[in-house]
Amino acid sequence: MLAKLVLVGVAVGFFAGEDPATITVEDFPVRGIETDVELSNSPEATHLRVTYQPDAPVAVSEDFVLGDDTSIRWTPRNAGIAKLESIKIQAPREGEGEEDAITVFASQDVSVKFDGIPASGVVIALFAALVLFGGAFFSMKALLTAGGSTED
Amino acid sequence: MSQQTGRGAWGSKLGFILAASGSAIGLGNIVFFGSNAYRYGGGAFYVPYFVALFLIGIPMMIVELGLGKTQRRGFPGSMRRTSGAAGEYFGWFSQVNAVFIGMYYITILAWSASMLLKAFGPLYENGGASVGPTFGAMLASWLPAGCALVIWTLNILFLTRGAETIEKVAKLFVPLMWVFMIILVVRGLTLENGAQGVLYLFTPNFEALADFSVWRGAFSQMFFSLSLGLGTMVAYSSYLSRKADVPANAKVVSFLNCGFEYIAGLAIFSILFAFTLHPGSSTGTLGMTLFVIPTGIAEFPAFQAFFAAFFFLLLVIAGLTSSISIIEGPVASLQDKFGWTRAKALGLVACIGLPGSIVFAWPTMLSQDGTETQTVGLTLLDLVDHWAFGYSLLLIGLAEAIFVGWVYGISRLRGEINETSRFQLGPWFDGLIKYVIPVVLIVVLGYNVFDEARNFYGTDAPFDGLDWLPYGVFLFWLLMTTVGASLLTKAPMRAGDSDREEA
Repeated sequence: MLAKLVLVGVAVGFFAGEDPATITVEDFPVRGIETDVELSNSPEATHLRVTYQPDAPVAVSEDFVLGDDTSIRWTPRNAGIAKLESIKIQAPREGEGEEDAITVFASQDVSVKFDGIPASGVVIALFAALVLFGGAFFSMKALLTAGGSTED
Repeated sequence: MSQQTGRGAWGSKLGFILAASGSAIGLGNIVFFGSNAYRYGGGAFYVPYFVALFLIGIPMMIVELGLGKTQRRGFPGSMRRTSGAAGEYFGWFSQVNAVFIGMYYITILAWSASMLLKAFGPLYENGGASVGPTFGAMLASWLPAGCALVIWTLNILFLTRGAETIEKVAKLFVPLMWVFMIILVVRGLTLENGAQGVLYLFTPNFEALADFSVWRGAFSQMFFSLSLGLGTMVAYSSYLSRKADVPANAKVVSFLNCGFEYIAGLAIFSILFAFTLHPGSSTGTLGMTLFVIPTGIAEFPAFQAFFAAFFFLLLVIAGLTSSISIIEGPVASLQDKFGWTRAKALGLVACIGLPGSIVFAWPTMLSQDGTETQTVGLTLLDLVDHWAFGYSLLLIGLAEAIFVGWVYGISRLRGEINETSRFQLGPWFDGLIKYVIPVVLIVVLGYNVFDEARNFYGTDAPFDGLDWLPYGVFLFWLLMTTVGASLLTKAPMRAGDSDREEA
């Protein structure tokens, strides 16, 4: 059922205010194939951060150092949803802990396509369907053909 | 009505299957599975998910159906007959929790119904950009409270004649729910790159399997998904024939429930991928249900309002077949204990539940400074859900496994189940119930408590001037459930009932 129900903030936050900094990337880039990422209005950004499976406990990130150009070549490592962010990473000042300070200028989600049909995905999809629907079918068949109704 | 027991009885085997699967399949199956699969590594999630299905899901379903069928009572009554007063206490603990869950579950249904109404109005006035404001405005209005009143009325109507009316509703709604979901799957798969979303759902990230939280998520998902620990399956199976084949029924209900999750995953992931959406940490499951998916539907090339209405109608129907089962558990238990008429028991549960649903729909904003849009009702709902759902189901499941396994004796229950079963449960089943399931549930619960000790739920939310609220809600829930269960356990049983009668 519904475990974590915190939701809102989203309603306003999602549409509130426009950040002048933007990230532009082609729709549906393909895993393993290089693509251009354009960054605009974020001259202070030092890195492009790519997070695969964002907001998930199993999310993984990689950072790319930005040069003077406003674009960077990026080769998606994983298929699925990825979040691209232009960020500035600053080393902590003395007495401010050990973690780097991160400033995010722009963020863009993108769906990365598979570079073919992944065999493992097809096998798991078929296996799961076979177990669940096959199990339901045969159990129901056995139950309904056993004779009698539920009435005593 | 069965003359033998004086309680309700299912009219057919199919009636029970539809009602029980309708109970298990609810709002959570439609989006919660998709949300978890996303969070825990796509196809890799299926590995612990299947382990959980066969290790916990089906065995506990067999125990719950077996308890109801053999004891002919709701959950507290079945636990009393098998395990004495201590078992009954946990039975009532589950039923008080079921009332809490029923209250806010109906509020969520009311939000879905409100969004259904909005689909015919402002939802897509400005395309996807209207979804957020419409959703926020809906939450901040009294419309959901009105819808909660209507949904409670429907629940009361559907439960007036117990199994008889539940079966009629299930025979109409459950097939409809499957048809609606299949239509959504077809729509999702025919979107540009929709099929890529399906590959995304099933292609495993095996690195995730090394993460304990993935396993914890899968075991919790299975418990919640099958409605175990809520007492609904015990209540429903108490209306089964004495000749019913428990393992076969348990397998059908479990496979249908998980099969529905499977196809719901196809629909959700195709939409998420095609429109680059993800169930963000800030939105959670409810946000994905009422906000993220409708935002995706806004990008459909045509008939957006139609598909949005369709989606919300699916949620309402799926939710109704679950909500009637959540309410039926306490109603049947009160009837069993006190010998009340159905109208009296249903009336009492409704009198407590309806005001609770309206409180959870309370539209006042906690803060209106533009940074926080959480309503009072939603905040309370989130906090209560964390305790009533997140902890109690696993805790009750643990108590159930221990009492049935060790006090009543699982081999005894197994023998009773095997008397009318084609598939004979072997001694391995005893090991699962006595050792494996308690250990798994203790580990999962222990991990949750450990997390809680480091960061008490809700205390990191920005409730201006309401820092006490997370603790207050926890104490209120704890007091109501523990004291309520104690009072109900100690209350005298109706005249003529005894632990041995019909046992």
